Amino acid sequence: MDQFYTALSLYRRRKYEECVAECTELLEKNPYDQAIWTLKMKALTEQVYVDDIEAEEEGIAEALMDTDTIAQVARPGTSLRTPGTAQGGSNQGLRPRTQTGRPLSGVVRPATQSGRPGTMEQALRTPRTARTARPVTSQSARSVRLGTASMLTESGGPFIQLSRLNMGKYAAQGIIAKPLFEYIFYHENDVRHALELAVQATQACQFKDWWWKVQLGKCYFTLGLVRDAEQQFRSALKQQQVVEIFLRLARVYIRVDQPLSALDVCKTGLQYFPGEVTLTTEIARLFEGLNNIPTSIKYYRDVLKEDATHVEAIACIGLQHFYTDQPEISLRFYRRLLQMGIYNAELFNNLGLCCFYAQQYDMTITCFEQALNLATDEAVADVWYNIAHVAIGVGDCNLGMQCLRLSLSADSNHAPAYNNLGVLEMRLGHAEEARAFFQAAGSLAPYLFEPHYNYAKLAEKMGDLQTSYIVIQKSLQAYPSHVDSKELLEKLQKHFAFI
Amino acid sequence: MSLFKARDLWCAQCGDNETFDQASIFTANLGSRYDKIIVGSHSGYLRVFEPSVELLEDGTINGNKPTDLVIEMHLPQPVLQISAGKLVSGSQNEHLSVLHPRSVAVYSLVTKAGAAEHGDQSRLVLAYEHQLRRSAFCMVLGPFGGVNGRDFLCVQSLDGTLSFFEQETFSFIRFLPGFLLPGPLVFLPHTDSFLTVTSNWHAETYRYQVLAEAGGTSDEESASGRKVTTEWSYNIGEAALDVVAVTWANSYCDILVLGERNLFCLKDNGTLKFMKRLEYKPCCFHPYFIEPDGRLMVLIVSETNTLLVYEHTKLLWSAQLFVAPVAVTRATFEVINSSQQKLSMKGVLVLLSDQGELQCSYLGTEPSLFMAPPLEIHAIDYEQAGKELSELQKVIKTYTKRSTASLTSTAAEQEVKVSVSVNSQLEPCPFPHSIDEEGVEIPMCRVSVELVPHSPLSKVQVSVIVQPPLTVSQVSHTISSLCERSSIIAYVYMEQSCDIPTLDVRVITSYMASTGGFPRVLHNVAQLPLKLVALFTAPAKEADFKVTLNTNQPVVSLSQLFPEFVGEGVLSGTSNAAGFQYYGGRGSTVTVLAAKSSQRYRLQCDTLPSLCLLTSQLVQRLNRHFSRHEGFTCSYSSSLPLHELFSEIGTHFFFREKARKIQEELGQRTTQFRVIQRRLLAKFKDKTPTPLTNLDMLLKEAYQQILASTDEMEEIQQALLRSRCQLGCVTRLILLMMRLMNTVSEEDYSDLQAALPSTVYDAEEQGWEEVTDAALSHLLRTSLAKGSKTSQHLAQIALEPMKDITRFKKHISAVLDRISKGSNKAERKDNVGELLKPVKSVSPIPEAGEGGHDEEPVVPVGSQYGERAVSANPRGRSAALLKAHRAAQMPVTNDGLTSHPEAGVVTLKTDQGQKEPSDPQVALIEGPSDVSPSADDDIW
Repeated sequence: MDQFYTALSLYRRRKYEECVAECTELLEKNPYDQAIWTLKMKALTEQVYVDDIEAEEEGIAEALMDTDTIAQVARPGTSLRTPGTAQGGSNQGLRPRTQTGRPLSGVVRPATQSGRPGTMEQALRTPRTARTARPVTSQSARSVRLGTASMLTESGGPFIQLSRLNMGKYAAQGIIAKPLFEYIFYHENDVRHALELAVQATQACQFKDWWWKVQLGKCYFTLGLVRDAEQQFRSALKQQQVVEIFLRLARVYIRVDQPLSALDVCKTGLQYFPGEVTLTTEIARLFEGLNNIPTSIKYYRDVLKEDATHVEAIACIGLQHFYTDQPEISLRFYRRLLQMGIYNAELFNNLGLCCFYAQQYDMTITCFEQALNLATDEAVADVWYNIAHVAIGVGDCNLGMQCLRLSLSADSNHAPAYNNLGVLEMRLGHAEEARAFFQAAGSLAPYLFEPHYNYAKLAEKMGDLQTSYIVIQKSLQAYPSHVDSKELLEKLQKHFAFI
Repeated sequence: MSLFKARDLWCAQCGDNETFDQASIFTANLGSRYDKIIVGSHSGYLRVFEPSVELLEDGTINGNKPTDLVIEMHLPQPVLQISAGKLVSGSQNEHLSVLHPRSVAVYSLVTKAGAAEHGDQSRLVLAYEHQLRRSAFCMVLGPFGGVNGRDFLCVQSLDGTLSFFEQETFSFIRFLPGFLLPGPLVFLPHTDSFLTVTSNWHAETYRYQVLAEAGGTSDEESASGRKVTTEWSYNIGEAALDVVAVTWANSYCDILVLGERNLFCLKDNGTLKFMKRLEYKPCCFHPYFIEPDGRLMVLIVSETNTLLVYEHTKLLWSAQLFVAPVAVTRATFEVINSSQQKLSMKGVLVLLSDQGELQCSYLGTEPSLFMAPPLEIHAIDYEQAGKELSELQKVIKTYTKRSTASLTSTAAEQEVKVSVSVNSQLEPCPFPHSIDEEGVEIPMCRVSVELVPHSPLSKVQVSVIVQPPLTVSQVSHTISSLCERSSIIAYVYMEQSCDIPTLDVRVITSYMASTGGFPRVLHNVAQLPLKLVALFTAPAKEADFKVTLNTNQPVVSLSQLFPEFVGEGVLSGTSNAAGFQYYGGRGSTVTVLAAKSSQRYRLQCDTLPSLCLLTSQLVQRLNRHFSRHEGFTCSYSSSLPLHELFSEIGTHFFFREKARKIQEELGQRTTQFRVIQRRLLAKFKDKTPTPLTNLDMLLKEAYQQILASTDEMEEIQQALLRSRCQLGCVTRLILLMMRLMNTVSEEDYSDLQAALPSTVYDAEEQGWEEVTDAALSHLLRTSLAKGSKTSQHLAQIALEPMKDITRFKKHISAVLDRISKGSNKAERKDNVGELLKPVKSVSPIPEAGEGGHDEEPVVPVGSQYGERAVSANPRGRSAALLKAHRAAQMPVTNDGLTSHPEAGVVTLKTDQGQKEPSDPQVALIEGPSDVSPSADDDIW
């Protein structure tokens, strides 16, 4: 059999390593065969390919070197940074916030974990997790970690010496330039060279190939030149409508914090590709980020109509039902996820909680046992925290406290656990301990209003009105429409006015 | 991710160690009612299956029977592709065409009906074979050129030529333009054209007519001719895995392209019908129309072996497969049901894996239930568990009550025995150091630590710690598992030229206990030899600082006290004066004198910090020498060198302030640097190049400034280190003196030792001053409080960066004064303090020039050296004056103290509201944590 055919067949069957070996052997015999060279390049690229639309996270380097000025005080409901301002948004008291102030989502995605820091100093000082002391690093570093190209380097030096590549020559050859670009972008992760190639190639084809424009946009976006990226994507969209371009353009608008433009782009995309799952998901995520949960759920339902096995949609709808006091329905969604083969601590934890609130007590303990069995270090704190809820729910304060302490031993920065521990201590009459716990929770998670409110309440009760007054303002800052906080503030203000 | 799994209907294994690819399978009925599956492997085996399924009465399915394999044939060449069509002239029957790397052969399947029960006899008969000049990649069959009732053959070779065969005859050969890697090729009968996905990632079509007319000759050798032009091309932007053209009722034709990331559906005029972005990696697909209403269905198999059934873009079904297929197709089979009726079963899935597993299945509703593995559950003895629980509860309760848990290390000592030995023989030091004195070779000392474990230990870490300016060659040693006796060697030497506070070397051993896995720490302390840091020199007669020690025993000769120096220089057996010089001590000599007639010793030196080490050494050695004599005392009765302490504190504080300032400056400069960087970046990012307006120079300048600041910082750090050593020395000396004064109770002394640490550490926010001040003020308020004020409640002491050290100094003098007077007594025991009257006006820090004519009040009688009576140097100030000052400062200090409780009032009034029931409205946070299906949810 022809060896080149074998290599092609191996590539088609996704046996990339063997394909690379076969190509290397062929290239030794005939080093100038472009076809084999290209095939090897493609095989190497496919080995490390990741969908870079999903794997995107903004690190401190981007934040620091970002010269795009974005409105600091956006109008209500037009920014992902002030999600609480949207009208008809869900109540913060009903659905907790993540560290960035956005409402809790059903799944953990890149970019749901980190907020965009304002300055370098702030980024460096942001509260770290117990796991790592490193702030989120830049995008390029992340994609290197995802695609482990560095581990796959050849024994005899790298496959292609980028610095010695004659970009102009290859850019003119459309048939090689495209795989070469992907190789440089995904395998070598050398955006600068990739950009150079893309610029020359798009010139070589007289700006007629939308593909090159998208690649240019990708490079610009990675380099943080979002406006240039936007231009390229727009220009590409004029030539041909492709789902990927709509997605990437939406990402550009998310980066510059224009969620409404991003929504617009996605909706235009949906007109061309009705029911496209990725676009609908993007819209649902955007609405979720804008704290417009009902609309978000509507789009997630659309996703499920198109693709009934969509995990993210199931999880998000399940979560919404849980927080709108329908644990039985939520339970059905989570059970579906379990049936589909998801097997992790988070799911069992959620199942356990749903069972508990749906009064199916027999399953609760089993679910939590499974969750604890599966939980990694990061999740175990949350699992214990939720078990504490069950314990409090059945009235076993002692067990609740011990669970909370276990949660804290797993993650010493677990602010909600501190808060609840504080509440329990308060019930036992240990005001000093309670105060300490509330203070700890408040300093760890200023975005939570509960510790502030609790502390203010405690201080007010103990007669420390000044502290109470200061703290209740913090609570209102975190959650401006919290009625109890408002009442307390009013009471204090009246009291001070009276004096 | 799927809810259901595909149900097995029939399966077979094709050979061992044979490989199959996407084109290795073909289903065709070849003239009969039911479909045959033809499978050809890369090893050259050609197999024809005709599966029939028998449904038994009990509902089970009788799968593969041996008779289902119609033919198995070994061809000499690998089989790349199989297809079927009307390929033999004059025959309307379908014939099999088999593509080999260098040839394409056409076979006819001949079936002889069997008379007996064991069935028919079939064989393949070769009709004709074309040899190929180029290695083949794939072939396409079809009625090219619109012929009726005949199929022609087109073979695409690996280098991009298309060879056309009109049944038995070769017609022509064409090159595809812009070819690099062969892509899938299909024939579109409606437009009579070929579609391929080129290396340019375009889907391109070529009309058969154009191809046929482009060439000049019809010779198989030459492929010259005009460049063929495309009819249309569509840019799909990615490589295609497979292309299939599906025809609906001869009216129209859809072209489905399975790309690596998307699925495209094109119309035959080159416009996009729909596309779908796939959130997984596809392996293979099979599109088809459902007969009655022409719904386009697409089967896609993902990399995770999930079969997904789409109608257009809508997912209708997903099922988990048990094999990883390389090809998927559909076929119609014969089914014999339980009542022996023969039915045809349409649309059975046929899957072929890489390894040759051939599987026919259907989509059943049997859930692919994932069973979570049960946890280890041991039966619980409730009574015992309850007992254990209550016991544990008790432990927890006591533990939480007792805030300070005292961990005994006695158990630790049983587990491992650590012995530290210091080699008294010094060696020349090969390590780099910063002591640059000519002709002096710095010695180093070997410290060996021997660990004898009694049980195997893991993660043992041994740290050898000395105080600067001494250093250890390797500070920490790690032994991952300690099973037998092992020893660690470290070398101690002087690294910097500073005063040495102590010769202690501390060895800290930490490990995880073998049982329970909790950490344990062991401390060991050893003394380094004096010779490591000091040289013997001639004694100096004059010195600014003097310390006199009184003993109650006859004077011992110095050669007995310092035996290691005997024989060196002038320390003879009877000498009662000796000089010591430190390495890097900048020439100052510490002189030790033993009085001839009285029971006194005197140490003198030009700098006070240098005295510290030798004084403590002398005291130690004296104690050791007289260890057999009961009641040996060594005392010091003179005043404390408080002024020197203050000046050292001042220097240290000054340097700290300076370091802080430079740090701030450095922060500002780096911020400035980053700002300039950003501006530059903005300039470079600009589309239209603008002049840099000297920003580059500014950047360079800012960089230089940063460098200058860091250099300065380094210098300050050095100075700070030196000052830290000196401060440590003086503090230590003062503590030693306090002890020797014999007026201080043990308890007070240990308090003082804890409050006035002789080890000086500087952290960024808190330095030695802040910590010490806090500790001293605490002492002043508690054990040293005046009168009955001890009962007043304790205020919180805020550890804020100190602005001014005046108050701190007051605190020190107050503490030392009160301690020397005895903590709880107001009466004065200090004779010296009584003798001297406060003569000077109150000045917090005695300035230079005050001590111009003071006499040293305590002089060892009979000393052979003259006293230095008058000194203009403030360092040489007599200690007596300081006493006077201290006495004068007393009221001021006390005033300062009374203000403290006020400062501490901010503590909350904690007595109220404790017993009140908690508010029911206190909010709890609750919530399930995120479900995180491992961020890449596009796999599902």
